[in-house]
Amino acid sequence: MDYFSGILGRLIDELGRMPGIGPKAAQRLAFFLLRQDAAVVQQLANAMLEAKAKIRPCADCFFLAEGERCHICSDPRRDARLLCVVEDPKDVFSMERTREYRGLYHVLMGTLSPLDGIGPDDLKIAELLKRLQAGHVQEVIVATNQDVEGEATALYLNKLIKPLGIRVTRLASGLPAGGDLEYADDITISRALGGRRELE
Amino acid sequence: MKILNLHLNNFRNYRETSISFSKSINIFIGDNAQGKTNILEAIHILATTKSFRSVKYENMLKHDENSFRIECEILKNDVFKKVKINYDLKNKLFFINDKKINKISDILGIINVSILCPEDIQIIKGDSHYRRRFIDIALCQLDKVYLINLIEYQKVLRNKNAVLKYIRIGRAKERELEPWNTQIIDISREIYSRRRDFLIDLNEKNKKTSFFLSGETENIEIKYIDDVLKGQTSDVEEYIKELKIKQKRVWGEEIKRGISLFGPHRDELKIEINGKNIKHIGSQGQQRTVAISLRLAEVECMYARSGEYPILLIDDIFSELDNKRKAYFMELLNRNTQMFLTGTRVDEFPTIFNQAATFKINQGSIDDYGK
Ligand SMILES: Nc1ncnc2c1ncn2[C@@H]1O[C@H](COP(=O)(O)OP(=O)(O)O)[C@@H](O)[C@H]1O
Ligand SMILES: [Mg+2]
Ligand SMILES: [Zn+2]
Repeated sequence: MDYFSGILGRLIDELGRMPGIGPKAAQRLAFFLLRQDAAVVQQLANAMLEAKAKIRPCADCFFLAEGERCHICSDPRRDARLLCVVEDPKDVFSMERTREYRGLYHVLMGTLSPLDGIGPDDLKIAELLKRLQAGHVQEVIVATNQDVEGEATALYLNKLIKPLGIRVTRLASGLPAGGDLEYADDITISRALGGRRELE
Repeated sequence: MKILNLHLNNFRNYRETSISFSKSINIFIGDNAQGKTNILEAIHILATTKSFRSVKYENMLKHDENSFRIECEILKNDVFKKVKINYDLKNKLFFINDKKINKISDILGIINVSILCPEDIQIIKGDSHYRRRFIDIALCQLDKVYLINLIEYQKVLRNKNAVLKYIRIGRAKERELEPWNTQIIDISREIYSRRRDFLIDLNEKNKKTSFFLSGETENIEIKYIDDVLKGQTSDVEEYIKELKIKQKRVWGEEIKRGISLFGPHRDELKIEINGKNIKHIGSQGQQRTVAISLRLAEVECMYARSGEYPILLIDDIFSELDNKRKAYFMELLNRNTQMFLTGTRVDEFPTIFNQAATFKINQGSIDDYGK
């Protein structure tokens, strides 16, 4: 890294901040950009600036929106009786990829994680309850991850939502992300047998 | 499962060393502090991701170096595999056949080991965490679900303790405790029943191994004293019922103290000889014998569950055994077990030295011993 100082060094440093980009990859990207026409690099810079300026959280569900509301909340064909609660905007993309779910979403923007100092007030939980009190939703599907934080969040939400007379279900998201089948089967089966609680 | 060779780079007092092993007995001879135990430690790390000496990874770096590598080739079910760890102060990366492994649960169980060493006496004399570790290491190698539950339990516990502290200073509400307590119940159910079942096996095997070792029919019993009902039941539903009651009863106290006051992390094993706690009545020699017997019982449990004997790492203790006990180890050998033994002198290994692969360890270098 020491070889790169000045302007090139700065570019490599900036690129290297991105997730999944180590020093080597940052160098490759920097050299790639230098080889391109100025117009191409300009386009990339514009796209980044425009996305940053115009994309913000949806006023209803906190998914990414280009205006006030995201394209899902603005779609009249979606079923407003169903609400799927996820941790993160990227979880919405994975759900949408399946093309099976036709309801709306609510993005919590995180999970309960006391060790990191994250409690209920740091998540979009109050906003969720407000939406539910409006009265259209009949079922909440909690699709937080299957790790202990995701599970804690699901249990916590269940306790809050149940008294509203709304059905709460936990989406069995099947395989843990990146998990291999062999181990997933072990743990899934064991939980079924061992009575890992369902949200009832 | 056999370890065919080992490669060490900047690990402890080894700079760059490769050794090829025998598929049965391997003996390392050398004076004290030459690096014999370090070799067993390297194998143990590849198998379990941990040293058997309580040390941090950084302390295993060769002095003045900032990365180490341990690598071995194994033969398992007629398939060769390469298992490797790279450590560099920042990262601890495991590889199987040069493919990076992301989950610890994918490493455990590939190489199964059991270590017999002088420090095993702590299983008898030490505090309860030695005894929990004793069963945890065996169970984690045998049962991935147990391992995952144990990891999750620790995560849940740490989070619960954080909530307790926040509640104490008024930064969290009491209802934030419940999701963690609920998960503790789910996970404790798994841990409890698996520990309970393992102890039934362990007791059964220990009857045989202790008879082999002492020739006497002393009645040794290892009792599972769970932290909730103190061993009064072996019924998981009763256990869970009491766990729930206790959670309700002590949460006020837990908030005041800022820590979780009961659960599997405080389970205990009580080892009794003719109905009395061996910690208090056993002689030094008796306690040593029981420690070895427990280890061998563990080995037999691992065999019973996986169909294969674990690799035995036997550090120093072989010299303590009389010939009859040494013969018991040989009995295991006949069943196709790979062993790694250390000692200071050749005559500690009567009869087996000649059929073993033998190495001389001297200040971090390894040579064939020659015969
Ligand atoms: N991190 C380290 N770097 C270099 N040398 C080390 C390190 N840790 C231990 N040693 C050396 O290793 C030797 C002890 O090795 P060990 O395998 O325990 O000995 P033994 O042959 O008695 O079993 C000592 O000489 C010690 O100084
Ligand atoms: Mg030693
Ligand atoms: Zn929206």
